[in-house]
Amino acid sequence: MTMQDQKIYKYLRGTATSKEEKEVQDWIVSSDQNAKRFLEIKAKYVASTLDETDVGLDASFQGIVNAKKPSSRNGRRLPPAILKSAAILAILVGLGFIFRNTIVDSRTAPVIPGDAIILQLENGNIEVISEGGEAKVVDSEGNVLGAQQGAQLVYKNNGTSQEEITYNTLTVPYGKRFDLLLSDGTQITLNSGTSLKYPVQFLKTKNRQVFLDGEAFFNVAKDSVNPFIVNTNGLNVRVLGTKFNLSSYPEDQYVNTTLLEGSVSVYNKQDTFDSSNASLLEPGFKAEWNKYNKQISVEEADIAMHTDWLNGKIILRHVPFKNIVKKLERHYNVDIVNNNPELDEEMFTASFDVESIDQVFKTFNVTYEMEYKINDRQIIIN
Amino acid sequence: MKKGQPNINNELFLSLLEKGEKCAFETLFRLYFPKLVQIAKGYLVYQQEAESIVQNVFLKIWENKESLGDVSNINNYLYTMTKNLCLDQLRHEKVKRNYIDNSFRIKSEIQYKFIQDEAASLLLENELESKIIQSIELLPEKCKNIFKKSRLEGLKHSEIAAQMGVSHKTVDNHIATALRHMRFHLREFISIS
Repeated sequence: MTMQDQKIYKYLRGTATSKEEKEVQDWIVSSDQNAKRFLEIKAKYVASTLDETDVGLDASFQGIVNAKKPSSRNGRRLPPAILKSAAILAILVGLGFIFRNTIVDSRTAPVIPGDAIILQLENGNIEVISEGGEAKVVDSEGNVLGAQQGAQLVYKNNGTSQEEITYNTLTVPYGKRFDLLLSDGTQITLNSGTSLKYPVQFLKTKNRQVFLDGEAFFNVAKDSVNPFIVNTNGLNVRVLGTKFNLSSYPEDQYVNTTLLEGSVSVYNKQDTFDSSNASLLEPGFKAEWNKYNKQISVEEADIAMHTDWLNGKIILRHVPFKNIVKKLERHYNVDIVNNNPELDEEMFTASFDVESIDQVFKTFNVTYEMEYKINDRQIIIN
Repeated sequence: MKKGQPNINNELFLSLLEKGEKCAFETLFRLYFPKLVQIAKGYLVYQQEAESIVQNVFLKIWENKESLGDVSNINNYLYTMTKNLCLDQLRHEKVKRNYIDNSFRIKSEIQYKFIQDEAASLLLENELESKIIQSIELLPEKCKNIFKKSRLEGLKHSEIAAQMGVSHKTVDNHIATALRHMRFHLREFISIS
């Protein structure tokens, strides 16, 4: 691609600066040949965007259906402007629902720094956990449930038999990781951008059940009577005692369960557990759950690729750039804006540990030349 | 059009639309709306207008459904209609903004050239058709046939079962699979049910 072509693409995408915009326009009108070349590039560019669907399809359809009704009675229809506002309103209402469901109980979330590790107690109170600090988790009656020891939160088994289960929720922001030791002895490491809801004490007669949003590594304490069940994004992972990694970020299409030791069963949350409807994993294998078609596929796994985040590494083996973006955002707590659709499909193989985000981009740039700019926490690729 | 490809010029599909079948209309809408919006965005100066222009295209389709029988190629028809509505809009803009700054005038002129360029037009029209065919082609074979019979030809599940010599339940299952598949592969199908 020539420099000129690159500028034209920027112009077409609307990401050109006003100076570049003028350059391109001057170039187009300067000769018929240039104009022809431009029209050709533009046609191909528009054709390449046909699969993009950033429109509110349902809202638009409703807009038409609603506009149809009056028209069949009096032969008049709403002006497009009203349709448009109706569509926008419908989208806004939709967004409102999404926000309400994703932001964890915003009423009880006053101003808290975005990069803080947060512990939410049963009563909705929120505590900020400072790394390396020491804090105690206390219930409403003042009983000590657990304590923070550096980068780990430890819950003690208080031995009393409780009748009601109470939950805590630990949320780890982008750029951080945190360890958790549950009262049954299960060790869990939470990756960046992850939230886990777990019982403060497990009941003797009930399954051990936790709820995951994000990625975590589990080392589950053995208890052959009470299975340990992780609920995540429509999938249940059921184990007796074992080591496995579970990656289930809401924005990812797949939920990946990778087994290191022991055995786990993976099954659709809507089904009750039964060995016939669950997929049993062997060590060294992973189960990939497709959230959309609710299918599970089991295949041999590259363990290192799935667990190296525990050592602060990112390993990429032939991964398209679009799938790398989110990983980098979580790991480095940055915001990446990619305006180059071609780059999205480009495959990369690399491994990073101590590199800064700056060095990461320099490495990418060796295999694929890209125009990028790092402004503090935001990276823009053109 | 190559053999074995779904026939989107399907007469039955059009005759269903003529009869005012909402299902046929919705299928058409879900297949075409996002793609036509992308094309309209390419033609207009103000991108926000693209969606309302294409909504108007579908409103006109619905209002004039009785005369759709004369249409031989629905792809061509939808594309041309979108293009013409965009052209009207550009002309309107031109009159309105004639006196405005130079940079805007140049921009409109370039857009105007693009919409009138035959090569670009042909490329977009063909690309649109092949994308639509791909969307339908993504379905597994048997599923696709049944889906087409149900959604494009508007046959009842029991009629399809009789035609293909399978049970009613099999047809139900295939339709369910097809819809799941559509949801997975085509985000625009997300709420067909």
